[in-house]
Amino acid sequence: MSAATTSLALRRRARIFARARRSPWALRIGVTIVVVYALVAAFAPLLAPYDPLAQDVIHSLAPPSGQHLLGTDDLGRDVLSRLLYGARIDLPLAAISTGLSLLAGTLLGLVAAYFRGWVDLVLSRLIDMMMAIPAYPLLVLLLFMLGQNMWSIIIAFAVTGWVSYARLTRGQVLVVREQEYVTAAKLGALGSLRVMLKHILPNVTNQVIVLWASDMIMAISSIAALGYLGLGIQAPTPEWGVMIADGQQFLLTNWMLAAAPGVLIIVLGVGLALISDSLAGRSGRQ
Amino acid sequence: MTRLTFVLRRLGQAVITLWAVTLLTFVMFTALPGSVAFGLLGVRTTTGDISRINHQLGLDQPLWKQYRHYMGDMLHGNFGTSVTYGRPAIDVIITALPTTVFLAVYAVLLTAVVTVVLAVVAALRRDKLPDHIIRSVPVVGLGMPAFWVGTMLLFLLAYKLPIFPAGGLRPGFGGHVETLFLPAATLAILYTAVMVRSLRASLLEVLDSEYVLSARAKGLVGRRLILRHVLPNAILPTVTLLGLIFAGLLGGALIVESVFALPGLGSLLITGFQRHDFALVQSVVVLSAVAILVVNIVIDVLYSVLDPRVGLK
Repeated sequence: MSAATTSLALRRRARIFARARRSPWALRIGVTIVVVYALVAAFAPLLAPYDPLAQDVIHSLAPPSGQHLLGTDDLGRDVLSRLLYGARIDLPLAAISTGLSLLAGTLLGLVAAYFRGWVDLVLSRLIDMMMAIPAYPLLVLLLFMLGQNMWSIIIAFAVTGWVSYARLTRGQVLVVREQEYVTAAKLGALGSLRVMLKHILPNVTNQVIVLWASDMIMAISSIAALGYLGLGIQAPTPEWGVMIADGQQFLLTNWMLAAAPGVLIIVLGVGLALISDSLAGRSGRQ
Repeated sequence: MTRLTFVLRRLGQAVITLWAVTLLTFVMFTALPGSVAFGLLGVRTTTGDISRINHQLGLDQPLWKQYRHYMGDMLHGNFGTSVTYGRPAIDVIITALPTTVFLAVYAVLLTAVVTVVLAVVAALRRDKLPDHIIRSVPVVGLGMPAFWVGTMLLFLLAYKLPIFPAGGLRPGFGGHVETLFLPAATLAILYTAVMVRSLRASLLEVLDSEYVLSARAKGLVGRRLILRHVLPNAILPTVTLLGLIFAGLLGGALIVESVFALPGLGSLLITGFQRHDFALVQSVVVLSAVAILVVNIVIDVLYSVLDPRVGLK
């Protein structure tokens, strides 16, 4: 490597660090928020003062007090405990389903763009078709087909979600595969698998992760939306969307019941958005 | 490529995509558990009822026959009979369509106005407080679930401060404008959050360009500069996004219609799913797919009309 390219690489690294130093707080706050949610999900049984399903009808719709910090709902269940346990539903569901979309989409996009030909043709048509179907009808149709449980929600989201990853990866790989170092790797008699994974994929990962963070936001509010519509997670499970739907009848007297789960969703969304934004800023995409 | 060949080619592709969509929904719906009869008659359904209704609807025939029948009907503009309403599905949809279209137009207009105002303010006060506030809108807005925003607007502006009606739909243009305001505002809040950042970015890009510099050199400042020279050149990507949002809304704003109890396509979809009303669901899905495909073609053509540098590929 010549001195010129080394100093270029150094300068580039210095620039990345400078940028990271200029706005590290956004990434740090984002990661902190998400980690706190993950910890709450993991230790909900230790943190929650009550069983989230335990009913106490005599003390229903109680206002916040020393015993129930956020009051109780219409069946006398402790709102705080239900909110904490909700993290165990929405967060893992969103993470697993978007994770599957990411794996499937990235892999498909990578293979299609690398080999071109009929594989690419089929995938492109499939993407066009998926883009033409409105997301919610397709999601709901899948849920009815698979039944309303956690696994069908995960599968339904993966089936509808892979498209954006495949599009992103395909577009990127189409550019990268023409680069000279890829040709060099191929001429060096490296296998297709190795070229794809070691030489091409690393160029895409940052953008895929940026997409993933914003995709998580969408997935969480969609999972909650399905719960709200009664099409996803079912009552009495303490899912945030279900809780908002339940609380809606008591807006006039206990508006907290519907407001609190939404605030939790929004704060988590802010955390993910901060992560996504600062990573996107790093790759110079903003 | 001339504009006509472009449109014809894209239409050809759209027809193929559409056919694939109908095939997909057909396959998925026939694979659904449960039966139409059960959805129609409820828990008292007997096996006799099920086989009778299945026979009446042709559901006891082999799949390929059902499919041939169904494609044949569709090519003749017959989208089947909605078993829930006992009327042709297309009629049911046409009754619900005005509500959905009105809401879609309303929401897109509100979104456009709010986005343009916020983005222009942010671009003019670049790196000052208003800009920072407006730039943080997407960070918060992206994660807001539509049903929660709708619920909170209901709580604040219909219950606490009874300015707007709490749901349902009043007839007439004025009634629509009044009753659909909160649903449209809910959608506008969410979509503005998505769009304000991209419009701000393209405004800044144009503001930095040389012809804006020369306009400034001639003494143009403020509103006139923005409205005449900057906005028209920066707004194309926003127009595209608005078009896509509009197309998506034509499929029915499922969640918002549900929160505000509106009789639109989204409500029909939910009813259709719950009753296993294949014809109804299929028609809504196909209709929204048509809307998305057509709007996409229109956007591409519009793009090349508005900006001659953009070629048609």
